Amino acid sequence: MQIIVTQKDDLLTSQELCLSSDINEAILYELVEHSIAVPIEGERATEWQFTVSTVTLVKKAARIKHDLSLDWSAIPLILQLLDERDELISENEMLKQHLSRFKHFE
Amino acid sequence: MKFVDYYAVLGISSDADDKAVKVAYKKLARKYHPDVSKEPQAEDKFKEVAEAYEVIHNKEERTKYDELRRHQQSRARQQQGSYGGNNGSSQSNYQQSDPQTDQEFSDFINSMFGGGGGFDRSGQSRSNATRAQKGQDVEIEFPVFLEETLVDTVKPIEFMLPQRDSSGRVSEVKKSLKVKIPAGSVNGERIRLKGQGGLGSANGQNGDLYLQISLVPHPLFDVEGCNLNIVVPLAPWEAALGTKINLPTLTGKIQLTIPSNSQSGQRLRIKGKGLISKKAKGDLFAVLKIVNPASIDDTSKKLWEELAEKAHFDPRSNWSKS
Repeated sequence: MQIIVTQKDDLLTSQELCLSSDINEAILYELVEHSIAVPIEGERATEWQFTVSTVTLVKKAARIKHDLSLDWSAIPLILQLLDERDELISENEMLKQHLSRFKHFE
Repeated sequence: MKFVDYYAVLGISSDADDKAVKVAYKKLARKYHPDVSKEPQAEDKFKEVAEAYEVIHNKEERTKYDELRRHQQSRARQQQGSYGGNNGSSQSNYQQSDPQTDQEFSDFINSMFGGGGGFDRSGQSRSNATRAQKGQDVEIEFPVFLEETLVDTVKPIEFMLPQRDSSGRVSEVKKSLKVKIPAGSVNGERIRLKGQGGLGSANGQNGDLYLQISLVPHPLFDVEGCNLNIVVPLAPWEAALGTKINLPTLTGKIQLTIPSNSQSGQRLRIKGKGLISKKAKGDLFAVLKIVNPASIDDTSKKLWEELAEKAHFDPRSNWSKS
């Protein structure tokens, strides 16, 4: 069986990001303007490079905007709050796990 | 194929105006949106709601749907009549918002609007045009043990890939790969395997496979960023006098010196024995926990009593000051 070697710092071009996220260039500009998608390399749009996790973020942003009929300007705040909520949930789970180890001796 | 009462799904009456339809949809969308909601089956519920809204908020489709609904209602009444009625009950025979599979929903909406038409989740119209299309991206959770994050690891992976046949019907085929996961992968990280997703159509490129790293909980170690915590149970005399213990780490056991007069909850840092990341090497923290024996014999009891008499230690001395 072929071994697929993954690349740790894999980056996507604007075109790849648009294709993977099913968005057009105009929407990509909106996303960059609102700092939802942040290119980590390239000054001009044709040179932009994005991290792999941007795909998930962009898809999520587009879904929320469409499904909840929101403006782009509201999306960064929502994403930030959802991120903070997820972080708190995982921190809470970690602390609960730690506490349970401390409470019971097996 | 079951008839789906979209009005019931949205929780509105059949004569609800556009505003009421929109309000009902927004309320349910906020409640069940899979990116927002933590409710179980939120995604399935949201799909039902989105599909109902796509039809009901569009005048032309709503008219068609209402006709179909009236037809279903009269058929249900006829069936009830032929089986001797329902003793005056007003219960209908409709399948309401039963959380059935997506396929049933799709079958229903396709039967209404034709196989090639209809809407996808984003509300964009579907068409069977033969332009080159990129294959579907696939995202799957990929469990990785903590030990496996310390070095490059090759792991087998099996997943189902959606495949569309010539008639446009989507089925799933199993795909197996061996994937080399780079050292230093962290929880939640996404790795792209280019071209390993769904097949592209009409010479379109294949979709990508995204692996989301999910660290498997360890029986001994808790992850805190790049650092690890391990709880070290100690006997009271070990904590008081100090001792040396064999401490498990991800790469084998090491000897750890417990200093005398250690306290419960005290953290001892073992540098560089945590997880690794692109930027740093984490540490292992041994968190001390003083544990008493479940039961004590007479000799031990006498020794504790002697200690209690001679130690002159008041652990609650702060209380008396307040």
